[in-house]
Amino acid sequence: MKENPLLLFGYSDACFHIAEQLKAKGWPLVIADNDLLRVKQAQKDGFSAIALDYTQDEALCQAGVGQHVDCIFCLFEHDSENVFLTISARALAPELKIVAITESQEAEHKLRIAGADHIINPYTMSGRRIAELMRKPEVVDVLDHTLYGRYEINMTQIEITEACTLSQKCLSDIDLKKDFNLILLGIVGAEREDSFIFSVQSTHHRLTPGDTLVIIGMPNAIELFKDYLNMPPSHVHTS
Amino acid sequence: MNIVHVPVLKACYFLHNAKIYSRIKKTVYAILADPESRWRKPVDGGLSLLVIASVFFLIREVKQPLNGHFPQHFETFTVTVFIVEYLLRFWLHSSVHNTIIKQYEKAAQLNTPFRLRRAIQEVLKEKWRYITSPLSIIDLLAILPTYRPIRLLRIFMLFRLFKLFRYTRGINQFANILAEKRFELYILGIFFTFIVVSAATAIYLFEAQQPSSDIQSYFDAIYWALITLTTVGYGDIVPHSPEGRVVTIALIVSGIGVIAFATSIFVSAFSEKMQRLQHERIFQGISRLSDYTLICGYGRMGHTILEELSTSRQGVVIIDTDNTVIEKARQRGYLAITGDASNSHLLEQLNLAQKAKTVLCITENDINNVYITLTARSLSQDVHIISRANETASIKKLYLAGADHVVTPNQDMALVAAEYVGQPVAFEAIYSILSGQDELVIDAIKLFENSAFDGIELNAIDFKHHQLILFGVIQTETDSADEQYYFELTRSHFIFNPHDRFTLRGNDVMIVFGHQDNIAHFRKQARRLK
Repeated sequence: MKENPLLLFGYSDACFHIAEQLKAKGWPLVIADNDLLRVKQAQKDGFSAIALDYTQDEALCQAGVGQHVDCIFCLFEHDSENVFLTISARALAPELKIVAITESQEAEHKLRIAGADHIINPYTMSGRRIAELMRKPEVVDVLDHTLYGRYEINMTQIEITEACTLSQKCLSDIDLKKDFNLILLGIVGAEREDSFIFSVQSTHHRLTPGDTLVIIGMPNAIELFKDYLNMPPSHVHTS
Repeated sequence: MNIVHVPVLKACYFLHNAKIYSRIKKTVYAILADPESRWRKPVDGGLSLLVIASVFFLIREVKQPLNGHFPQHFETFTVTVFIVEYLLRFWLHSSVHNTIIKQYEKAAQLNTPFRLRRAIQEVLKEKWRYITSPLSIIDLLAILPTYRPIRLLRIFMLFRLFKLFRYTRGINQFANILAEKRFELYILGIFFTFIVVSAATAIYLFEAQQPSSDIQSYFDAIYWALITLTTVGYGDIVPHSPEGRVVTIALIVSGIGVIAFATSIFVSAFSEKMQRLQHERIFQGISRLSDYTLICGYGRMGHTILEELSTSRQGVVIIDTDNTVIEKARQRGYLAITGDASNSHLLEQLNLAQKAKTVLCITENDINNVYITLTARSLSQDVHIISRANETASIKKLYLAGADHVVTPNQDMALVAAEYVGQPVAFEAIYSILSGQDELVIDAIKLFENSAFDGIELNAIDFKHHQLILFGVIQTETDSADEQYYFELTRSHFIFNPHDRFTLRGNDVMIVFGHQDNIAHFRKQARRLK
């Protein structure tokens, strides 16, 4: 887990739920709001919260945007506030990860232009979920009981480094299922503009440093696999 | 018992029990009269065409004698169809044997002697009711113009056009609207008659004696009054005396009043009725669906769901209390009703118990959602209910009210947001798979007893060849205790990433990742019989 806290702007309903979820996962987080009442409420709910005027760049800098913070959430209730915050933060820190929520499709587009990396529309999401529930009830049931947050199967990403044991190997050479009881869903290639490669479709893809593996499995199996990757090459028994 | 009674009653009971007879009658009813039947459109349309064509021939005949045999044959055919239709409707109207049986059983119950004459009287009375009903009189009169020797009967040709009443709902509804304004029309009629008669009398008194006058008879006076009153004013009859002109002035002024009155009656009748008509139309549309998904509350979420499902607009019924929202839904081509979905009566009207497959309670108000869920569940035990909870506290209540699934936008969003942090790449990949935006999807493949995969070990299936990844298997029976990774679902359990020696069984469900086309192909193979 990282030490740098996540910054959550705007203590709305959505913010409360997200903060709870993140806290449960062990992420350090700070809630920032320009309204003192909401800051107090957040503190009362058990989160660390600061009063901060997000319209002032200095205030954002002080909070760590552009410095040690690498991910912020824009969770204000008004789209205009979220867009303003996104633009300000993007201007300060080009590398910052910005997650924003909105309830309208129009604002989704604006937030994207403003520079948000990921935009969540709760209504679209739940709408999709209901559509899935009607189309593929078994799949939703399984995912609810396994992959989604509260249960034991995790999805994770592992980056291939220079020193990694799998570097320069073909996808067909790895049998994650037999050796680790993991599912290798695919790779996000370093060379091909972040496109997702489905693992069974391009078995001759050679892993290069910068590739990211997308993996599904039990936490302990994932840990084992990570350990295996970081072993010095001499210790590896090729299977 | 009378010697005549026995065979009659026997015949009646025979018909009563004869399945073929009742089936034939049912079919004929479906073809001719049942407003819900799928025959309605083609049959009514065909008969309407027949009416129009026959009237066309009759009109042409007035000036040009028709050559050839075709018109003659066509007329014969038309009339035959009309006569058959008339007789069939006569037959359908009431059931003779049922009436007699009813009379007989009533007599038996009361211990009075059964009298055949009484029963037959009853039968005749019912049939007479049919003969004297307006529509059947029209039917009968429509047959008459065939009898050419009597020219006057030609006018009955018009009744053929009236026959269209039977076949078009629109005209019927027009008549109904007018019937509903009976009282107003009655007043208007009296008012109208009063003015026409008094104006006609006045002008007759003033002008009829003058030899140069246009008005020679009382009929002329009435005709003139009508033409003036309705502001038509042909000008063929005009008053010549000053007194007559005064009468005309008064008549013209009151004519405007009468017209305004009449117009207002019609306008108000139609505007009142229009909404109800639309409502009824939608209900008819719904009653034609074999099954549907009911969406209570049409907001952003409902919109997304419909976009996602992207099936034909058929099969979806939307209810919302907000009229503007319903208008929007209608413009998009959905069947939509303004109303309160927690109203049991409305849901019953929609035939929820028999026809609804899924009910979505997704209004923005949790109290409403709970109430709608409860109402829907009370009407049907089997319907699949998905409800939306805006507050965490409502989740449990919704389940108690009978929801099968509860969706919480805020929590779902929080889960997704939490997944995103730390592993955005994995997240984006999986999110796009789960949301089905990509061609790469996750899907379920149901197996059947005795299908190709029943009893087969996993290593016998080449997933790589199919370009699929097996995520896991859902099993209903629990005897795989040796499996290390299994998760309890509501009625079954899920085995994650099962090993190669794992044996599939008939009712398992495989959950796989892959391209849509590959999955479809694989599913076909999996479902083949051994």
